[in-house]
Amino acid sequence: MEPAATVTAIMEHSATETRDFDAVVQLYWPRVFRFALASLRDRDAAEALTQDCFLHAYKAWARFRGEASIQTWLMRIAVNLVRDASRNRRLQFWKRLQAGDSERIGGHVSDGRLSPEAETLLREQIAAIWKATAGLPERQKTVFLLRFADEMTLLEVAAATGLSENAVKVHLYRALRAVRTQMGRSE
Amino acid sequence: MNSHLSLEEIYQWLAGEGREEAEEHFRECPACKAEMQELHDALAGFRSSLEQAQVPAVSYPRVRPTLPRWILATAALALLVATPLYWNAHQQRAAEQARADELLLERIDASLSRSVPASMEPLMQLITKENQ
Repeated sequence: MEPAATVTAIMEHSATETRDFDAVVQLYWPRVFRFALASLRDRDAAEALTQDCFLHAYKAWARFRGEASIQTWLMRIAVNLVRDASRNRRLQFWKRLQAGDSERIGGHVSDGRLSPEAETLLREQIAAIWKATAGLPERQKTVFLLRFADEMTLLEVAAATGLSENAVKVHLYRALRAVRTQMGRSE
Repeated sequence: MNSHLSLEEIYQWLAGEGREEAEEHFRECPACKAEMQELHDALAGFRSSLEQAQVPAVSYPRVRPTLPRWILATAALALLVATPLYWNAHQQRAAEQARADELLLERIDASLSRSVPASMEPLMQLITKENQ
């Protein structure tokens, strides 16, 4: 396990044991926000959704028994909220995409190991991924973001989405195929 | 070396599955390794671009957990039933106390209205009989 993942696991265990909801918020607020941002591509909407997610979680905190990890539990709430929000925002979403909003979410910063040409290529590929994810069907996008933006395992993605592990794999491979095609690679 | 990995096998590796077999193949096959590396780096860059997005400060409207309605309704009903019972008991106790006070006052009055102390009453009765 990576050191950062170990620290997260210890903090999660501690928060569960002490029933400290504030610690849970501090630990997972950025993750939920980033997932919402990548899904909705609107900072205000992502922030509102993150608040809503933790409000739901706060109300249900007394009933949380730890059958799933806190992360999986929170992401399940977030996935449901994103799904509801996306239904209402589909039209706006496409308008924003056409306005190039996805390019402004975050720019990849070079770690200095790449040549300028390689850096340019990588930027283009990242932009292609953003563009590809925008066009993915809802489930493919959710599965893709949980796996590659949140680094959840296939089992965690299955638990957070309520899909079977096999269904997660199918959605993920389709999403990867779309991403690869958007990157200019043929089948 | 076997033929190249299928795209599905590369996707499997990216999804976190079949890692050992694929990694063994990557060590021997530069073409598959380059294919995997390009996708892997692009996905890592995508995650990194998202991580650089500024995260707003934690703020969510906290609400105090409220008691379930059935508990509140039961408590209200209990209060409604208990109040008259308590009031009746209180009134009864007050009436008994008033009666006890009245009796005590009567006894005091009787004691004060005597012409001689109670201990001398038999002697006074004897004197009265002798006089007759």
